[in-house]
Amino acid sequence: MNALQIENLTVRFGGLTAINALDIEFEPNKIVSIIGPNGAGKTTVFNVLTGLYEPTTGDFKVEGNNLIRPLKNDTIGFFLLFGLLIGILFLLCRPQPPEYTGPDGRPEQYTLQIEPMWRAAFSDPFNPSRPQDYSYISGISAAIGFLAKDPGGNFLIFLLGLTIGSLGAYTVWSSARRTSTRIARNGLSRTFQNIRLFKEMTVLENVLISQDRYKKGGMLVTFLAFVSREEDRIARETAVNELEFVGLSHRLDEKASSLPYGEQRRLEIARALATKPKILLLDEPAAGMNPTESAQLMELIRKIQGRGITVLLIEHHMKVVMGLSDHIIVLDHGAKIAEENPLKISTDPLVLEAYLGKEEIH
Amino acid sequence: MNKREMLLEGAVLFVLILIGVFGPMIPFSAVQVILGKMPQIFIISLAALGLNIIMGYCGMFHFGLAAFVGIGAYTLGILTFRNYPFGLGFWPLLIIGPCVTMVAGVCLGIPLMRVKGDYLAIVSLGFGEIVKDCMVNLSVITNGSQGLNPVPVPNFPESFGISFSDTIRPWYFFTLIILFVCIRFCRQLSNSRFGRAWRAIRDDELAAGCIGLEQINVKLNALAVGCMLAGLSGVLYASKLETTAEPKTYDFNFSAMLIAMVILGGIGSVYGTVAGVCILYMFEIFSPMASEYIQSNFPTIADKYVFLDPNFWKLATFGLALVIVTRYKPKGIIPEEVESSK
Repeated sequence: MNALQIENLTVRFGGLTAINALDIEFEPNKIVSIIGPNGAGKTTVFNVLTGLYEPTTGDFKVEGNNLIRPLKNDTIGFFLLFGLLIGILFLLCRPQPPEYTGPDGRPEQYTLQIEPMWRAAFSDPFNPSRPQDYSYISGISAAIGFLAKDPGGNFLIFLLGLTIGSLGAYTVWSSARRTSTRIARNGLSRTFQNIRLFKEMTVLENVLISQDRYKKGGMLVTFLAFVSREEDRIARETAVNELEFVGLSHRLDEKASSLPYGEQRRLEIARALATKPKILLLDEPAAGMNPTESAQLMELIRKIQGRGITVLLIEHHMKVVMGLSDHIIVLDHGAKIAEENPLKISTDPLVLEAYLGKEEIH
Repeated sequence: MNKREMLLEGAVLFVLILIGVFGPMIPFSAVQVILGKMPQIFIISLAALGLNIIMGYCGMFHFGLAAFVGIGAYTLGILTFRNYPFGLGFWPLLIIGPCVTMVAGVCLGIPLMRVKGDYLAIVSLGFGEIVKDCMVNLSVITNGSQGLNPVPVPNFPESFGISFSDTIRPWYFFTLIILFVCIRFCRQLSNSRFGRAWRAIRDDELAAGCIGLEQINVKLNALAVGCMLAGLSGVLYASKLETTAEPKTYDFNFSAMLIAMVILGGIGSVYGTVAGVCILYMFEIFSPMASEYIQSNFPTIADKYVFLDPNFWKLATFGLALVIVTRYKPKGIIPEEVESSK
């Protein structure tokens, strides 16, 4: 089975087509690079894969799973319940013909009124001499009587409300069927081109935070310190292991923002790894690194591959790309122009044209 | 919770207990006035702690928290008022009040989830004003601008022989215990998965989503806890004053004061927040004293130059304090605690 399968992916921003009918698929446990000139749509691919952008058309699957939240029976039940509420609201808001006359003989329309309701229930607390006002209750009975008078029309109004309510609930729900949270929890994790760490938190906390979803217990339990220490210990151990893996275990208690640039990058990788991904998306991990640092980074990425994780890499640093990749995909203007192994890609005429321009013949 | 923090907290609590025990014996009237105001400081601190969770931990600039203090106060008022059929005592309200406020906070918070930053501030400010106006205009229920009066004070069974109405000590210790519990609650949460999630959302919401945090749940959690603390503060506030106070009390000025307290003390810092409340509330205590002193000792000057009355300088002083603190200590008097890894 393919680790990742992108089918016919198109993303448009207004008139700009950022990605055009892109197909990518590759096998698990490979290092795959996406390269291309600036503005080719590489980061857009990542943003779609992590749920930050909604694709215009097309779809993708991670190990055969498209990560869309399934439509369950209780969800449908919730839509109908919401529709029911809206339907009743519609019925209540339907204006009543002036056949009904209020207590003072004037024709009256019933609406939701809090004051009469309160008075009818508790009398007027600040004015005990005033007689109790039951106009709201008679309003309700008139309303019920009216419902019986025109059952067809009322049923239509109710049906309209039900449809609008449930369709509205469905629309809101369906627009968030594939959120970044759901994707991250299902084995697709990423780093960012411009580092996005939790700056005010310590290095350890940055990594611990993705372990927190395995913890149980609400706030009261947490407050009373009934949290199982075992759970805490496992979370901490996992986090420290990840930090050791990227070589940051000596900096546990420092603020993330106080780390040097290269270590911030590695911390971001550790944070992504702590979510136990199947595929790790690295967005320009070697940007701004000196040769030593990028050599260390290459070693780290190989180690990640050694753990059985597929790595998808965006990189401009050709030494890193050529040294690491099993497979290179070249994008230009949102379309795939080549897909080869590293040896062939450097001589591909289309790639050379995209990077260097066409040779002019005099 | 590390050792240093535990020692410090214990020491401060010990000093406060000593003050509570021996303070009322000191025969100076000024000391008695200050001691009488201490429960107020503790009560306002609760609301500020709530705001600290929403604003300091979760990074949502909520400008309408005073409204939730008001909701807490009016829940106490309506459910205990003698003309109404509910007629509950004070003690059940200590649980019901915060719960009602929490539900209100989450309900008003759901629309807030769609906006961020400045927009969130504006929308929450609007909510706060709407709640206040509802309190004024639903006069059948809330008695309009007069407020519900009287509301009960907490009463222990007679056998304890403690009365909350005449001496300083019962209110002092009661509010001190509640404040202490809430401080521990906030510190415990900030070090747990909840606090980490809140701070992550504050630092980078997008990245937090990309490592599997459900942003909306996390933010609603923060709102729920923050509003719960505000509601608790409201219940105690009304009970201390023995009236729900007029709805105008819970307007934007109150919210702004809470924000000033949190920013001054240290945004995101529990102890800083309490320190901020103490510092700004000192003005409330000392300005009437100073005003009285000027009135009695220099009556001619006080009559001629009305603007010298320190009561009129409250907002200006707060503003100046904020400017000075943000200039010289941008993270507040006691900056946010960095959680060490044990």
